[in-house]
Amino acid sequence: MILIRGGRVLTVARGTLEDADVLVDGNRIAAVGPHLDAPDDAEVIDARGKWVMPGLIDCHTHLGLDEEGNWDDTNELNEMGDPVTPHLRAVDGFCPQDAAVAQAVAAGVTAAVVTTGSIQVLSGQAAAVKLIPGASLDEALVRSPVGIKGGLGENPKKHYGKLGKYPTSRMGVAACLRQAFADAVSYRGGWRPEAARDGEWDPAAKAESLQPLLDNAVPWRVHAHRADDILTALRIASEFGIKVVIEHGTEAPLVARELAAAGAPVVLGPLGLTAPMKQESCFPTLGGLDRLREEGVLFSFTTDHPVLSLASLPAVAACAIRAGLPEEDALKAVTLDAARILGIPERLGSLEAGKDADIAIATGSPFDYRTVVETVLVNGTLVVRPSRPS
Amino acid sequence: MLALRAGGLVLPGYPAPVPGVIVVDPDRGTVAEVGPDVREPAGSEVIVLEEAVIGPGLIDCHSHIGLVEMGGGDMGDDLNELTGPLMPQVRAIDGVNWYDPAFERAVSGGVTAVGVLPGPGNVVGGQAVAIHTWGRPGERVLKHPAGMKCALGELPKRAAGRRGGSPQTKMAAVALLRQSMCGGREYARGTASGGRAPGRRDLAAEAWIPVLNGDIPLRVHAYRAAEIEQALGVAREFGVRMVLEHAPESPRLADELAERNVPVVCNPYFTSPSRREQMAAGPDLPALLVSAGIAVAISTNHPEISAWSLRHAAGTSLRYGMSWRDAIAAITETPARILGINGVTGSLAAGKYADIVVWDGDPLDWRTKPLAVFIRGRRVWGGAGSAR
Repeated sequence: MILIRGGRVLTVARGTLEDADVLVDGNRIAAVGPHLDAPDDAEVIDARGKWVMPGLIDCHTHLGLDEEGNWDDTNELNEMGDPVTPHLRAVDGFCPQDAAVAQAVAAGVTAAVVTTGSIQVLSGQAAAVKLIPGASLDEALVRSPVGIKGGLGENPKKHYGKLGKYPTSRMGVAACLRQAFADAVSYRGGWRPEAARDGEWDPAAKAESLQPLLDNAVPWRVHAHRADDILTALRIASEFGIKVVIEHGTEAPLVARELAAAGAPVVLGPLGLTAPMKQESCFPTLGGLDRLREEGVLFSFTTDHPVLSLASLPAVAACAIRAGLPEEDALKAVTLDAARILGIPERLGSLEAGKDADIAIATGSPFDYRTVVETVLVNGTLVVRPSRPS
Repeated sequence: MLALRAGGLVLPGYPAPVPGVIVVDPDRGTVAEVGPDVREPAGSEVIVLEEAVIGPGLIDCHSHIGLVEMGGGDMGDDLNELTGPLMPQVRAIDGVNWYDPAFERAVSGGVTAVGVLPGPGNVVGGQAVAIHTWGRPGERVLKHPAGMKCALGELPKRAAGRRGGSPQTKMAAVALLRQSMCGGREYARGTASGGRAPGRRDLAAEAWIPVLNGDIPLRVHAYRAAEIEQALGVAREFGVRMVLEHAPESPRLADELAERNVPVVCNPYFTSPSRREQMAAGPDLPALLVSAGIAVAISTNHPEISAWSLRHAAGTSLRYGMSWRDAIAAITETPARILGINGVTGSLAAGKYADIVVWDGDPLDWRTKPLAVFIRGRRVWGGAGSAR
């Protein structure tokens, strides 16, 4: 057992407790509260004067697919030869030895969703992983799939437009997508496609891989920046009765009411730190966060790693604070709300008994650049230790 | 209730504006009463506009607004899915950018509804949508699908030439159209008979069902008389409704078009022909067709000319023999019928949406302008408290 003693505990789910303890038993949190009893042999971490918080979560990254130092000229995200490959799994391309893992966890980020890309209409299955330096794939994996990823807007338009290959227009992208979903429905109804021809993916495998979407077991995670692309995503999701998460959502504030009505969350970003390099990503999202809050839209923030490094997640969220988001809401966005969006809130995102012991202990607010994250536990194991006496 | 007393009301059947009152129900967004003999209801807000002409919001039934975005470049161009000649499955509703700044211009020109059509690059271009030009996107859709866009002639050939596929010839274009429709008919028969082995839902074939059922028309882009005849043949073969688009050589077939009730959507006469097939285009086309008993709509073909210039295009036809009444109908009632939205908009009538324009003079006069534009009873242009 590990007792984290006397810290300022940001539970996220149940407010902030001053001078409180967190007791870790194995890989779970056993208790949170003031003056907890612990066995004599429990390891004690003195957190007096420190901030104790849940590890941060980025629910849209390409970690371990486009590896650090090797992503500029290579592509591990999109199997672009076919615009529809929902049967491909991010976990099958994931490299847990990505150098970014150690950097991110040192910044207090303890979990991430690893997604395929957005050039294709449907690119593959996203996985949730823990950030544990030196871990094997098995040890890092939390769950797969946690969503089916795809793209609307400029990415598929640009790529397939250059090739002159279907689909090259927003109309075509939507039609291609709709047929893929319709095939999944037909498959469920007993339709069995002919076997794949040489060089083509098996249409039955595609249709089968979309069944969790029809079951509402996982959401469709769709790259959509522009408001019209977001509305297209909501329209198609509603036609097939599937759950949808909007990725990037640059113009989401324009359609906050529609997002709220559809119950669709948005993973915003990368915000604030990057220069928009596409037409679709130019809208000043940060100025519209209030609209999303007023309508009650669930949102989180992403680095889109490696677009921004995963370690910069707190800096991205800090940009939202600068734009007026209360600090506790920013923290919730990159912890508990991220866990809700990726679909595992019962295990991740807050300091509560029974949840995974993914905990960061820092010298101050996670959104202050002077703060040092001294200690990090993932699954109850110390993966970052203080580099100097505290 | 809001009662507007105007020096002129543009009403169906009247050869010129007549003085009268229009009463708007702002809660329902509809017209409660309208006519020369209507009185302001007790308790209503009354606005007297003795100098103004109040008419129905204008309707442009052949537009590419939102598909080709103003200043949008390649990334804002979703006009055609050019990767194959047959794209019945694609939908304009999925390509429209509801935030295209051109919509604001359309409203400023008194245009309150548009038919957005996929482009002419394919033999079958896809499904059209009828939308209001302003409002929250989800509330703007008036009808989807509102037509199936098809194209014969030079453009689908040109696209296929670049792509290296079919149609390389005009005969192949007609054959491809027929093939696509046959696929839809086979599919519809299979769906109707039921009881087969579990089948695949084929969205390309399914898209033909509302055309084959007569719910929506084929909207056929055709310039040359021969192509018009070929299109008429296909429509007859499949027993479907058809609307001709552009069709400068349509007067050659006037009798047949009139007999078969095929409307023609005329281009604006403001641009010079850029292709051989356009050479017959003349400013007297709408008048010629009307005199032959053919229903005529006039369009901007936006972005051929800007969406806001619709009434300028109609006004021009007056110089070449069109009556005022027919020119008004060509940008209101007729395009509403073509789009299948005449039950809810397209004229000032009790029960229809209060899609209304207050003009400072004759709507067809090049020199006049809208003072206020209402969509579903909400002021979206002009005056204090307007939506912008």
